Amino acid sequence: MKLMPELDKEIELVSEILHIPKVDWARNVLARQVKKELEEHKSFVAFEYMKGKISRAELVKFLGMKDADDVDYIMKKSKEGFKAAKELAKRLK
Amino acid sequence: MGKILLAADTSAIISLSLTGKFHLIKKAFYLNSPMRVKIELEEIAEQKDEIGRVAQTILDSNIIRFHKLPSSLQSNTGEIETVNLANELKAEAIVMDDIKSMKKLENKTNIPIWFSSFVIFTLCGKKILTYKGGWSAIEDMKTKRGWKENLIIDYAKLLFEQAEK
Repeated sequence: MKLMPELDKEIELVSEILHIPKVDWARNVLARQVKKELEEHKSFVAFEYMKGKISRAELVKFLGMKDADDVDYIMKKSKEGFKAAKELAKRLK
Repeated sequence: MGKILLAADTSAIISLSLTGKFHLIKKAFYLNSPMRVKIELEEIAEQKDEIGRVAQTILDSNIIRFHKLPSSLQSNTGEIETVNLANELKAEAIVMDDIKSMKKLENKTNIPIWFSSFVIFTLCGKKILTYKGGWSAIEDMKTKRGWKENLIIDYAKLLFEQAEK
């Protein structure tokens, strides 16, 4: 992994403090950040679908079938919960 | 005004406590949880972060009534015990924010399982909370969770916005 010399020096320092090889430390940080970014993109795509801006086919293309099914499940359960809450509130007034 | 008997798992209790609206939630709901949830909250309270502090606050209060289940209904997961408790109490609803557990447990009970946003929706329906207050409470539930769990919150906000139009 090629890094700017200043950054490389700083990572060297952190790896000394933590007693972790600097490549392992950098790899872990990178993996965490990549995961976070990927989740942000997934979340964005799923929310576009929830707003009706993209189709189910597009959602499946971007997230895969399993995650797309979970997004549909969240929408279904939330809508049902919203309706049930309204009915319950009316009944208890 | 009648109150609603509710069984809640750890994820829902944490979400609801993050709203800071327990004083209002108590007006409409009786909140019940099994001892396994109490144990999970105690474990979370050991963490020295925001969620840990929230868990400790719940344990220090009398907001939740914790029940010890008969040994045949005990489990090492809070979600399963919550469903068993709901069946025992004949609760009106179960709340949890764990999609995987919800899907798995829906066929173990006839009691509906909802996301914790259901509680906030009900408070708005009963005019205990305004729609603006409800939206803000739901926003406060968003914390360091997985992207799918955060989608529950985002979609609840979307439903609120659509209801207001």
